[in-house]
Amino acid sequence: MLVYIVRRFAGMMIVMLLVAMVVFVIARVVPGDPAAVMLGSSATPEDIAALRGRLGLDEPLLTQFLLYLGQIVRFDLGESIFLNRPVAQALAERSELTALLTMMSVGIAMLIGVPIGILSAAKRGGLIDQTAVGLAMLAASVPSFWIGLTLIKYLAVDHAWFPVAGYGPPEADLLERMRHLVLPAIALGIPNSALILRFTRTSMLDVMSNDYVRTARAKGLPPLVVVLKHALRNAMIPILTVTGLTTAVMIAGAIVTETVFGLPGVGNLIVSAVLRRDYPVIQGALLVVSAIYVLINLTVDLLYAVVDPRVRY
Amino acid sequence: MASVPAGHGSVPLPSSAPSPNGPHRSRSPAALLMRQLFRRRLVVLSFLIMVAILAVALLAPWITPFNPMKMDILGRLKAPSAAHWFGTDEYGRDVLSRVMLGARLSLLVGLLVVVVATLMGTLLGLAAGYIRPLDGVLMRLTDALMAFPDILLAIAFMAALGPSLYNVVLALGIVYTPRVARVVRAACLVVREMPFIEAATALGASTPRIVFLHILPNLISPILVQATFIFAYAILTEAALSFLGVGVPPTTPTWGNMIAGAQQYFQQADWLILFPGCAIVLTVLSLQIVGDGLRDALDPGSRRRNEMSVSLLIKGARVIDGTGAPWFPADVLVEGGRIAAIGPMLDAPDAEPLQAAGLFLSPGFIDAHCHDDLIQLRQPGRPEKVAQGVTTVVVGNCSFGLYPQSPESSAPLREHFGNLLGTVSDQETFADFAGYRAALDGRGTAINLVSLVGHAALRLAVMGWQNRAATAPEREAMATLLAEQLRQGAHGLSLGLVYPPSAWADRAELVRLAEVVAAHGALLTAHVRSYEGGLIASVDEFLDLLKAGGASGLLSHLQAAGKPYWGSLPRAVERLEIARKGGTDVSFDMYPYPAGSSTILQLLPPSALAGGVEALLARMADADGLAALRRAVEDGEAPGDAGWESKIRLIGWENVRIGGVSADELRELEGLSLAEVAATRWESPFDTLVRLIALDRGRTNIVMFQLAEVDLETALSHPLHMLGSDGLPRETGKPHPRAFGSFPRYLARAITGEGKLGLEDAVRHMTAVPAQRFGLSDCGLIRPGMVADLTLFTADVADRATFQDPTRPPHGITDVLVAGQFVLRDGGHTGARPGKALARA
Repeated sequence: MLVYIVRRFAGMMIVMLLVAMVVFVIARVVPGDPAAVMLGSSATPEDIAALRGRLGLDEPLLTQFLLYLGQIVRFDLGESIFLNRPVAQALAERSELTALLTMMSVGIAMLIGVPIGILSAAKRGGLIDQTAVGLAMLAASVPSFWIGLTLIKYLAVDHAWFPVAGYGPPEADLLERMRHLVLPAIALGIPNSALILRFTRTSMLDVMSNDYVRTARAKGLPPLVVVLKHALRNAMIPILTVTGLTTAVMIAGAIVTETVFGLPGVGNLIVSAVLRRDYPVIQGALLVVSAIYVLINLTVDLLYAVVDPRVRY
Repeated sequence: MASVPAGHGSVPLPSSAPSPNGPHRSRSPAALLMRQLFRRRLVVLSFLIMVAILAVALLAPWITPFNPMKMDILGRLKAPSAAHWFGTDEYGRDVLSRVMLGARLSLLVGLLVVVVATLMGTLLGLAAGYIRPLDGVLMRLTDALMAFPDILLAIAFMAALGPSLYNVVLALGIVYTPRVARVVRAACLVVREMPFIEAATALGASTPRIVFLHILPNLISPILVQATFIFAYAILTEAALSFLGVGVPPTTPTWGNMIAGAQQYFQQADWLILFPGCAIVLTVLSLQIVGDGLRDALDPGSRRRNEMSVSLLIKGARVIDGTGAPWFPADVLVEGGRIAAIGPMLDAPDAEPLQAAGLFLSPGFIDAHCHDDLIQLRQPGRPEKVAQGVTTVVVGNCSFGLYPQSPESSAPLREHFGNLLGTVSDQETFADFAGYRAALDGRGTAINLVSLVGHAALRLAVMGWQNRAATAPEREAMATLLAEQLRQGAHGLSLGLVYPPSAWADRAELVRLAEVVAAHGALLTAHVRSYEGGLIASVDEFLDLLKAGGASGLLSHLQAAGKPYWGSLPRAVERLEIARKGGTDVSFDMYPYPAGSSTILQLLPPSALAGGVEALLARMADADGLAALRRAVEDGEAPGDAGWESKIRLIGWENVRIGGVSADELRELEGLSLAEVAATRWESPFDTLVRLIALDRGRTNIVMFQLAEVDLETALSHPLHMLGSDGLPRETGKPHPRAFGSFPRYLARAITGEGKLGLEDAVRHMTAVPAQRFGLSDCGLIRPGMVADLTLFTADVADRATFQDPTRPPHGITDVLVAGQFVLRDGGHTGARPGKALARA
């Protein structure tokens, strides 16, 4: 087990190294002088030269990359050009909202996906199943920002059941803040419920063809007990896996959703950084989000052994 | 589908019955029908929607109702109306026109992304898949790219490149390249191991030549499928980028930036976001459905696990291998449509596992004798056969077939076949076996088909409907036509010596045709001249033909019909055994029911049918003709038909039951005996018979209770026997249940001890024996290398079709695979169509 964890961790470090390289390259493919681009048209040559020096742009590319790696290892993601604070700090300030939003969205996606997936598998081939699979496909075809705008229009503007936008005043308590996140979480959760639904269905169907399910049924247990107690437990592993993957996707999806609902989270930070060409923030956010993405995937793999005692590494 | 089953007694969808294995397996027929409609129609519909959207995109500049750029400040933010169907936007521009124009850019971006990602991904994937040293580096690189969520990576690239149409394409192209690269690499790894690549390498072909000329063409399907999905994702992601303001600049409308631009106004004017949003959803949904459909059709390798798998591990089944050897517990690994390995505790981590402990696993059953020629065309899913575990059917029996035909013989051929199985359209008969085969394979069928040339079709094509011996030139013409069918892959010739026109052939004609069959190493089968008093003589006649022609033979549904002849079956079987000792290769088939089934015209002497049904009806209208017919049927006096015996005299009116009628107004008679019908109408049974023939124009199917159980058991347990259902599938009525229950019934007889044979021998009679008989060298046994036609069933397998309820599906057949694909899974028909019309090797 330990050997496996170490090996997986080493593999992850290689991927992260490559990720860092991609992030580094992205900032360097900017046409023209990155420093000039960052400072905009009003910058003086002196300002540009100073920034070039600060960013180490006069060094050879390899040296630049190694310097960059050195910074990352020290958790130094650089200074934001516009926010006047370290990128790491800016990210940390915004992370609570994004984390909360992601968790709520995952919750909603599971609330939709898992029960319908189970029902769909239990009634395999029936009308419910057909409809569920069709709806899943529909859900996967709808842009989340469009769902967001539609929800705002009908549930917040027309009926005022939920706040239209924002995250409430800073002094608001957690419950109030969560109320602001209900619509965003639905907008983000619906498209992502599709994958969870499909996986739940497939996984349940696989499990239900097993002997012990046949036995459970043969000894006369009510179908509900067989499905929920015997089958679902073992179907949970793939469901958890896909939930992990979906969580990672939703962190990125939050970028769009936060923009729709005017929420000051990490996604919002990224979008404004892109519009203002605040490269250190973009790079930092890219690194952090993809690191979380990779970490979640790794955690899911390791969780296998915890959830399923048969899995041994 | 050419015909949709309707009404009671129709060929049922097998899973419509309560399933043996619990609630999740039951399905309503409505759901199944919807599923079938959905399957194909939805994909077609989605494809048409895609084409329509593409057409709008292409023609947008010419067909928009208004100039999409023209502003009209007075007419701003107007709700949808007759003039502006989708309303107007904040500048008074027509939203419909802008959605149409927006299609142009949204689709263009999607298309260009597909091109970029497919090109780059294919090159990378081929390099990684074929040039091994590059594999590690390239795959880690794709890992790194895939470590970013799509949208984030795209945003990052857009940040670096700046917003423009081509930068969006480039950014999304890079984002989706790894997806293509992975698929291509995986497929390439499989293809590169194939023998033809080895051959190309051995011939000294250069690496680029091998990669682009030999490997790439085999990867087109997965690439195409992947491209469709990328098209969909690209449209979604582009919309999100535009929405965020980092996509295509808002000067040109795309669906995404239209929604983005409407953000300030949509709270009053929801149509501004509604219509572009719907356009996105419709396009992406259609693309995904088309993608799914394409994947199902083109790329079996990645088809969803539920429906099939390339690699399947059947675990812990009781294997009955088809040789008759006792069952043994083993795992069976299926790969690429064939059986890859058999053994205890096989390990195949990549294979989909199928828990089969407690189930019997046998080769798929072969129905050695049935009349499914037409239904295989009309209902290619073959639910009633799949539900019985049958994976191959043999058609073209008893001289009835749908080919060959000449232009003149099409009509008489359709009438001839129609007498047995109901109306045939002129699209359903064929010039030759190749035509029939192409029609079947073009449709796709759930199960395999082996076809014999019907002697009647052959004779009708050469000499028409004529009650006389063939002349020497006619014999040669038939021989030539037969040889052509056999060369095309037909498996043999079937005679129907009791059915005109096959019954009118003389020995010279039959021997000549037997010679042709022998010359091609094919099979001669026969419904012999009599199964009643003339049984022994008829068997001898067939044996004489086989010996004179040198052909191998199969005697169809061997039985001794009619009470006076009960007990004569052992003598008939003995004739076959003696002939075999003398070097004649002959065996026989039989179904496990004491009742037979045929056309109502079988109750009349053959001479009554001279000139076809019309001539018969004319004769029946004439008092003398009718009297002669009555003497023949009631008293057995038929001077023109030497050797013929009246069925009615042998078994009685009460034992002839009306199975299926063709005329709707006669439906109520189905299931009744002729005696019963006559009694309710206060007429003689003969008058009932005559009226029925006249009203239904001879196209009535009858069930005759005519066999002794002891004879039946002798036949079913004899070593020369193989199981053939003799099913006459009609879409309506109460047909003989043998079409719906023969195979589980035969298994149940073996398991319960009702029959003499043990289970393993019973399986052999339905698998290895017929496979050998028809020269199917790669099925009928569970052995590595054999085609994975497999059936799984429980120890309490049983038929449930009865004469009263003949179409009830059986119990206990759980899963059926044809060529490694599930056609029945957990008792439910999967809709897969892996079957083929098999050509003789």
